[in-house]
Amino acid sequence: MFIHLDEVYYTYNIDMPFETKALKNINLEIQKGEFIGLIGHTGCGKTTLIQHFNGLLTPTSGKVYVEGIDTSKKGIDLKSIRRKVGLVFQYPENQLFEETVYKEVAFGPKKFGLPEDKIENRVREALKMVDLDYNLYAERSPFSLSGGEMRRVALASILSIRPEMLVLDEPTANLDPQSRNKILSEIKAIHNNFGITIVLVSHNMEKIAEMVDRLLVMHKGEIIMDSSPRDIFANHANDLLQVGLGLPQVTQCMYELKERGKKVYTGVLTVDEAAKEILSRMKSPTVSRK
Amino acid sequence: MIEIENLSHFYNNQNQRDEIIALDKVNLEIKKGDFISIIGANGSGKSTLARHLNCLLLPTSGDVWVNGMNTKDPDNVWKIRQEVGMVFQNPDNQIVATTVEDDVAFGLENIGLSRKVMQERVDWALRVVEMEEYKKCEPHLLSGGQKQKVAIAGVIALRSSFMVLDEPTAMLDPRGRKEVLHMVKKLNREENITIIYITHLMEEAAEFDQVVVLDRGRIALRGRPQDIFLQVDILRNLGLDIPQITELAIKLNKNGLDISPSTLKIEEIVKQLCLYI
Repeated sequence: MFIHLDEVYYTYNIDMPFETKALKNINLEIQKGEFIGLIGHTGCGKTTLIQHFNGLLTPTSGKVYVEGIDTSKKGIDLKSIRRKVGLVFQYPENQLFEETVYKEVAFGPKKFGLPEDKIENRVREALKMVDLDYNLYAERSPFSLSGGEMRRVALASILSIRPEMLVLDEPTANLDPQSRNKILSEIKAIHNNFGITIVLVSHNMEKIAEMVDRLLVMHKGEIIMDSSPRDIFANHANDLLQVGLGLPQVTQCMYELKERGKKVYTGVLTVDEAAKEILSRMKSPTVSRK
Repeated sequence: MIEIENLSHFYNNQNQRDEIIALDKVNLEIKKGDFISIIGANGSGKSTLARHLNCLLLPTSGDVWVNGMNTKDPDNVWKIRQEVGMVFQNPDNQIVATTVEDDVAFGLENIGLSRKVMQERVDWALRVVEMEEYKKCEPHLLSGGQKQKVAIAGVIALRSSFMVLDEPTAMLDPRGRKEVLHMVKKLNREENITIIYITHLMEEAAEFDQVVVLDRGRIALRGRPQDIFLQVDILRNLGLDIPQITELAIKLNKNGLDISPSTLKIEEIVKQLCLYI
């Protein structure tokens, strides 16, 4: 088991007027190589939760183990945990600061003490993973790039430390559809080709449904669902709506057909699946086709 | 009415010597009561265009007229800003006061209204955005969608006739998105406020009467969403996409079903499908 949370509670501003219980009794196991989606309304505790994955926050009570290491124990090597678990925050391009893309991506490995001659390889490798041409980009200023490119540089600067797990908080907010699709397909490829464990936080139900194998739904500091996206979207639509979430458009279309008494399967996650399901349910194909 | 004539805007790029052309001879007319969304790839000029509508930016060349007032004339700035309200992406950056009603009143305080009129306007604005019960609430306790509605209330309290929203739902969860979209529709239909709404979400753009597509500082397309989203290849070339429902409609149409390929909304496709299933 890679990450294990055992009865984790986290409270902000303990004993203050604004005391907030951000996490309540979280029990969670993440295995190596999983691709997990995390959804929940704003303020439900998603960001607090992911900050526990690499020891940025330690629980008020309960335990978090990263490869068996208790993150709240004194004297542990936090650096090694942060090297294993890379966190990419919202709008990571705001954290860019170096003069060139090369220096930016080299920063992490350098800080972790990698010898200079190995750093260049790491930078090349990381830029390749986010599909930026080393020769074209390495010497450019990160601030002269487009929003989508900047975000990919920020992602590369985490990938260059070769994390075993990558946690991404809304990696596509503010990007146009093409940049969004590109970044998501790169994340999928990073998972497939390098076996990196991924946790993806997103409000985009269509993409979550398409991409992840396991879906966690948070509400008011608790994980209220933990299952496959197909199970969750097919069987728990009302619960999702009640906690401020939604369904992918095609799934919603199936629900509305079902509500009108049509016999359709509501567990479709993509356009292709929806088209297939609809075509297979047609009353009398010969008459109804145009 | 807003008239944009040959509007160009250049930014100076500090790293390189050349200038970045953000808007390139844009011509656009926005009539009172229009309900428009603007889409375009990152860097296509959407936000630059929006900032020209209430003098946050001034033209490098060309003109912008708001109800006949030129934005370049310094005497018009405050009148124009009162006419054209702006709502930005991050709700937390727009809240200034410690209670919801004070926040809505902030703009009014600056235009010198009497306390009585202010109170009426604030109550009215909060009623319109369906946030009356939160009047005394501290804004930081609200959800993202509710904060955006408070920002919208601040704009309509000034009796602005135009509202420009720059990706107001980018940071919101699905419920917050629905709330904001419902609100701009209501303001347009019931209060006749002109809405100019920038978004990266194609499903949102599909809800408007008109869609303007920007590409590298120029207007590439303008029309009804059902006509715009038919042009799948052009949109994808411009870094855009089509709503998932439209993609499904096109797929079913290609498979021989008589489903209109310009179907944009779930209820539309469901209605058509009911004839077949």
